[in-house]
Amino acid sequence: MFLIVFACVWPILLNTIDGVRGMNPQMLEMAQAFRIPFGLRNRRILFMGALPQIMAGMRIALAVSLVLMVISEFVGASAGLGFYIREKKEAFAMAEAWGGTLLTGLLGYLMSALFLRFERWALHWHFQTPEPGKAAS
Amino acid sequence: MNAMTTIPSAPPMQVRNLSKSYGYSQILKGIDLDVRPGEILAIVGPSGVGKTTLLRSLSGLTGLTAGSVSIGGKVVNGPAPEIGLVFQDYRGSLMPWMRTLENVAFPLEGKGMPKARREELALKCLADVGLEAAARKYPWELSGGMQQRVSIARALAYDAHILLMDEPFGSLDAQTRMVLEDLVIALQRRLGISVILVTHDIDEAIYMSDRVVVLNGRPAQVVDLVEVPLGRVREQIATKSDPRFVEARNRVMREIMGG
Repeated sequence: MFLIVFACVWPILLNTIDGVRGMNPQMLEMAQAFRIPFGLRNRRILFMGALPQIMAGMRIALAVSLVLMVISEFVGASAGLGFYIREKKEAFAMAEAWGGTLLTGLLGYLMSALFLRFERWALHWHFQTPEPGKAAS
Repeated sequence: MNAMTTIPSAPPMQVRNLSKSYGYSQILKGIDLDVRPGEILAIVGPSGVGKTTLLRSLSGLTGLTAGSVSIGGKVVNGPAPEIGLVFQDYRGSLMPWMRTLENVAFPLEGKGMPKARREELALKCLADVGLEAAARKYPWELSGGMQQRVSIARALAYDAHILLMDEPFGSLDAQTRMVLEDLVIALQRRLGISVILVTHDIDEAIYMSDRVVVLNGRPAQVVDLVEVPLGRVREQIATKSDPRFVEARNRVMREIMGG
């Protein structure tokens, strides 16, 4: 459990840093010029501006966490999907072992698909914003 | 404290002996300026001379190396509440995750104004720039000229008495430019605000302003201060073909191009 959290923190953290660093500095200047208080600026500008990258980090973390979950259940668990696959394999029940593997894949696919929908919803403005230079004028 | 109808009159702004250096290179040297209440003051100069640096110093976004800026007799350090800034790059200064109305109302949230009140005021300011119909749209759904109007509305909503504009129409097409020039003139006349306009376009500077500050040299100094003798009513065709307009333009051009 600790391992999963530990592994998931990095893609999210690094992407967040990247997102904040990649922000248009003019937005922060705008906040400064209009004397936006620190907390409000962080919530409404920094966080929102970095959100696309934060979301990308979360998507990676989601995949990593599923893999780590199954693998850690291989070695040290008495229940769960990974445990099921290992148990069936050791009992030479290959159909069940493969079934468990396929289920893992399916689960991963569904989780990603759901997350992608959520991302599209939360970042609808991001997906609609034309690239700089392509804006209508 | 209604921003739109009862601005008493803009406070005067004084710049004394302003200098600005980055490291060993001095950009601005001994700039003295008096911005009269309710005037449009244009700052022109060759490209790279330090116009934007001057505007940034006036806005409080960058510190001064020497000298002082005061508004209404009070020395200011850092961004002052009387000043509303309009950037050249509207795309980078409006937030794409906020609707037009939220963008305009956002600085008011920073002032701690209640939601209903700030939305009402933001809507009013959007109407002032002719964009009340776009309140629910996102900035990226609007044209460049409309986005720049939103930026202006935001500065007005903030209750800015002095509008600082850095090449505000620089990335717009010629027609949109003229429309916005006239919009800013009209807003100034109606609201009594002061406008400081940095531009590289000499025609625009003279057309819009009451006085033109010409910067030149390295480090940049004020080489001329031209009173524009065109009265307060400006009209794109008539004003620009007035012989006094042409005369003022030629004078400024010579000073900038060193001819």
